[in-house]
Amino acid sequence: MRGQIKIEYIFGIVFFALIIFYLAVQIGNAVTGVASDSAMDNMKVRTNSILKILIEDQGEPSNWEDDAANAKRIGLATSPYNLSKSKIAKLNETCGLMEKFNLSSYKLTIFNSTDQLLACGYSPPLVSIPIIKPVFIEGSYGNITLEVW
Amino acid sequence: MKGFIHLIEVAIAGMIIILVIPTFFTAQIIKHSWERADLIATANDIIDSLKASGDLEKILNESEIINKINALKPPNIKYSLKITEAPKQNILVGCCECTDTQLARAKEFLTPVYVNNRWINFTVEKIKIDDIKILAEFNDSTITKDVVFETADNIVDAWINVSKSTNVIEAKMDVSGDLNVDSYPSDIAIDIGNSGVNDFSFTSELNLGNSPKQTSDFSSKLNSILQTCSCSGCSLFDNYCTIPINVTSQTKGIVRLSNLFIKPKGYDNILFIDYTNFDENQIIQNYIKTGKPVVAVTDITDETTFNKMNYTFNLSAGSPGSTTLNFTKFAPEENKIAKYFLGFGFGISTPTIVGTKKQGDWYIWEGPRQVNITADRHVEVENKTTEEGIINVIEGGSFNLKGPDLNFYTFKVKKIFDMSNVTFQALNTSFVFKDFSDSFKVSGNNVISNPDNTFAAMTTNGTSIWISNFPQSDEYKTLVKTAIAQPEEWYLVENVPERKFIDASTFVNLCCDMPETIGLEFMLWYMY
Repeated sequence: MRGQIKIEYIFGIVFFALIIFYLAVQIGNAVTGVASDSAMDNMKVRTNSILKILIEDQGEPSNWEDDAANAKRIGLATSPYNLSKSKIAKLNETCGLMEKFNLSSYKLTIFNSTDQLLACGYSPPLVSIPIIKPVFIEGSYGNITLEVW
Repeated sequence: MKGFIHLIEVAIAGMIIILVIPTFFTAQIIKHSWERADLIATANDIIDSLKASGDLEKILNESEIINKINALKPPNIKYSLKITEAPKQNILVGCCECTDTQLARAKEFLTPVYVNNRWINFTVEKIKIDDIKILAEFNDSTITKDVVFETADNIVDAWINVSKSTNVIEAKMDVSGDLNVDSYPSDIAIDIGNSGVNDFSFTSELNLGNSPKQTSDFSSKLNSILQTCSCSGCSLFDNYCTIPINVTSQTKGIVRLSNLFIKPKGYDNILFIDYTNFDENQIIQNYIKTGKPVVAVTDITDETTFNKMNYTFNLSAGSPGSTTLNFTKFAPEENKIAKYFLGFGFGISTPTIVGTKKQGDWYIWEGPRQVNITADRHVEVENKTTEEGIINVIEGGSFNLKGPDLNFYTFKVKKIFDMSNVTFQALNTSFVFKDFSDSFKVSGNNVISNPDNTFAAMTTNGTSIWISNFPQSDEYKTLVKTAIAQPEEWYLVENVPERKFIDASTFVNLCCDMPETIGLEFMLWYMY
């Protein structure tokens, strides 16, 4: 009869709508999660890249610590993973040089086996991405930590 | 029309499923990839830091470097470190079916070796053919068994099945708690073998959040049970002992037993001295088939002995020839036996005090030469002909001796140890031996043979090495050490991975007695 709808058809529509709604929510969550993970991953990659330069590169010029004002690139290594105390000390005095990495919110610390040799940047918020790498600093092991947010 | 609409609905549903499923999996894969990348980066950071400090080259001779690695790695990471292409530091040798005299002789061969700034030590123990059988046939038992409690109870619903002859050096397993409808197990106790002594106890609730826990090492308990396979509930079938695991919980729940790890005592190499029954003994053949090494120092004096030896060592009948022997090919960069012969050298002990000197005998080419170490750390070696001259050299210095082929061979004083030991190293691109082969001449994949290659005194066949028995002389002892040192894959740090792990490897060149490039393979995984 015209104007009448079968009950199965109504159930079908409702069921189908529920499935679509459920899937839409799930997709939304997944996309949001991926977007948030992706932002974190970008920070992580950036942090790793900066740390890699700091611990594997001597900087430009290689004796930039003698004339920090004209340093083109900052690197703390004498050879990869072997850090120079004088370069660490100079960066500790002139933390502003970290701006060359285009960082606005970060905290960089370096420890050897006994002391803190460097602290640059700011107190990190509750959520940040700290990356710690072991290094060798003129006769003793230590570590370098960079947090970016 | 209705059918057509259904088709469209099905198509839309299919498309949605196709689109949604990969989205979920992609998100998961991204997360897993980061975990792997972080672990790989950590391993590479540790390796690079060790390289920067120069500690990587010393990793085999300074045990505190392992402590440094432990300090460098994050606390939530566990690791194993495998060494390849280098002999173990402590080599455990099973002297198979050896008499006391043969065991004493094996210990006399296998004195410590100083090479590339590290010591290699040998420990020799008597073993029986049946012990080899165990090593060949042993398989780790892996069980995951849920013991289900409906109420407070003690239940035997899990067993360990292990060969009765196994000598267990480590045994443990994981214990987890899981929900049985609405309750976790608690106050759990595990008693292996119904002995009345618990091997694991946990006094509160064991749930998914605080699982798994590990039992204490129950190897001594297993060994005690396995002696006669006797315990309450033990049963023996075909030399395999089945041991009950008694589990107690004071509440309803599921106790999950998993990752059973039983490590039998293994030998790095098996040495046979004047043992000939190789073909008759299927146990040895099975052992060799597993790729494990055996070394036989055995005389082949007649056809009967030859027939017992030829299959295992791939020997054929040889023919007599000239009377001095050499390495068939002396290429230390390619051939490990030649490399180790060059690197290990000859360790001479000088125990006798004579005035201000310390004195000992060096048996070379089957004859003794007196060796003195003077108070000013010079080494004097007795000459046998005037052509050899007076030999008085310092550490690092060299001298020439006339060999049985009447050619001169150069030796270096490699190291002097506290006047009580000195190590010499043969420097020539070959080394001559007196003929120490037997009356029945054999040939195979010759390592040491006469110049015409018609007979041999040392051959290899895969991981099996045969050396003709020999009179007292240090060059032969060095040969046995080179043969025994062949297994070159071992763990400097050994942990069983509890989760998915990553590999990161590097190579290190060691200095300076012989060319040696070792492989270091780190396996890292997250503990939590």
